[in-house]
Amino acid sequence: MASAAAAGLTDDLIVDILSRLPVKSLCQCKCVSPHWRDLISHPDHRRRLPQTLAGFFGRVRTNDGGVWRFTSLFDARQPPLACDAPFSFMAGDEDVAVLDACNGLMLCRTPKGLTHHVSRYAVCNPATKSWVALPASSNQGGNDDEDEDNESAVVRLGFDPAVSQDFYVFVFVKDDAKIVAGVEIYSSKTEAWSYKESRWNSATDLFEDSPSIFLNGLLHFTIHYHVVSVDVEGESWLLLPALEDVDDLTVYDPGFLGQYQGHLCYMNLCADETHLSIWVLEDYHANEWVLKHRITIQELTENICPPKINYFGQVTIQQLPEIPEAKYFRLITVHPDCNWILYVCGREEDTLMAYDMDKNEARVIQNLGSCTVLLPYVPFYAKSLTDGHWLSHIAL
Amino acid sequence: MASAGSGDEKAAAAAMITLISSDNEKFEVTEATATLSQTIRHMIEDGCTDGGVPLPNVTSKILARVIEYCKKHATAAAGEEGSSSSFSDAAFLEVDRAFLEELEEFDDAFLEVDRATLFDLILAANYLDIKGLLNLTCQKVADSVKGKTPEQIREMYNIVNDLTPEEEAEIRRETQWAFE
Repeated sequence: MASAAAAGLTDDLIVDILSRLPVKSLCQCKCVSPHWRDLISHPDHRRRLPQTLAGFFGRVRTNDGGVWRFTSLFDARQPPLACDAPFSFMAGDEDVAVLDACNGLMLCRTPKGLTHHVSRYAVCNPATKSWVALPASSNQGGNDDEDEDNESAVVRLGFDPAVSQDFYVFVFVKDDAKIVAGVEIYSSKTEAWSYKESRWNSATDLFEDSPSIFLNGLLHFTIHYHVVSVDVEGESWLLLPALEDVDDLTVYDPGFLGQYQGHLCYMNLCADETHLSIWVLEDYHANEWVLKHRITIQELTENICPPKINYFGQVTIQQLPEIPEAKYFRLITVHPDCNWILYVCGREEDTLMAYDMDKNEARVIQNLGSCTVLLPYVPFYAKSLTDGHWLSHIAL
Repeated sequence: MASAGSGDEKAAAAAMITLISSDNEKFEVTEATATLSQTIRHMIEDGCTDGGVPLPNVTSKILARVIEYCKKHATAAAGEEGSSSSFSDAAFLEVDRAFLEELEEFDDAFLEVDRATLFDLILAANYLDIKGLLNLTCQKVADSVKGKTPEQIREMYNIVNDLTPEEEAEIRRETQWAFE
């Protein structure tokens, strides 16, 4: 009578059991029965269950600039967010500008028209349709101060629900020589900004689009050949060990930072742009990047020339251009729950691709149209930013 | 304070509670054992345990197992309180460690039951609100589900698959990576 016993478990108990599974097992459980599938995707249960990469926020070019859209991975039937207006819950969402995303939270520019005692930054959680404008710090200009310099500020978000429910916003301050002088860090715990002087190498320079990742409580950046990090307190400024074969690194490519099975990983093109290398730092103290994979660019891009219909209705294969393929591929992320590198390639249209590092094969996921930026998104249902005292900061 | 506390505990431990299973079997347990169940703890606090506590959702077979678990863990809880107020020297830590190991072994052996019993234990732990037991049994089921294919899970738990092939294909497509 095992079936009677199984049927006897309440939904709450089944969800309790499912909440203990790793996300991969949980995804498989959706295929057990419609009941399990519906339990796993039900809004009341999602906050208790582990989530995985659901899609990407992308900025799509339009005639009057661009708009932010959400694209779900694999064209999900029920995407977690409205694809066309993922920020409709925010005031002035039509001109929301996303600056960074981290484990389900998004760092945005505060919508225009808010009172001037809020800063130019807001943090939102699209999954819970909640947002909070950060208070202004004494050093930063207010939201109404349209200072051109600050438009290209290096700003990042740090949030790791596995460690703490608090988020951090890092605003790097540069000196007159454009070198990082320090960082202003907003902590949602103290609800205040604090400024800390940089203890990185005096020549450390960051750009608005410098590759970065928040992992292990540290915000990491890559700048040519090496990786630097700073903690959420602004106390620990690390210069991580350099990669070994520096000779093999390209000059213009800063590389890419991601996480690979929970470890910090660095990917870069080799000098002749024929290979992509994936390095992993397994131990911050071991001073050693371990080379995990080396993939030829041809392997990554050979599937991308999409068949085109010519004037006669015949399918023709688009010829690969003389320009190196490496110019047409962009790393997006390493899948947090499997060994897939996600990247886009293509010339006129971006095709989302996955490279399976276990099977050494590339596949096409979907055509994305034309996107300028793609930010990976893992929904986080367990936190509403308007819960409790954070509400007081919303100055509508 | 430590000695006064243990005196009270002794008094509490002496009080006996009668639990009555769905098939009318009576079980005499100490209050310390019974109060691992939050449900029974509330009944004791409300003073409605005279004449026994009827548990119409729990059979005698399952109740006997639940009581076995509670007895062991009530002793463990008392032991922990005792040691935390004692000197924390190496000898005591050693005793603690041995005790925890013994408790783990007990739990492992306790979980060696068939699936129907395991599910009944979950239901009883849920109804009686015994956090430790619920945790233990739910984790056991989760461990058995972990890494299994949907077919294996259905077979293990006798779940009828009434997903249409299209629905199943759709789920697989949406999280391709999890099925490889």
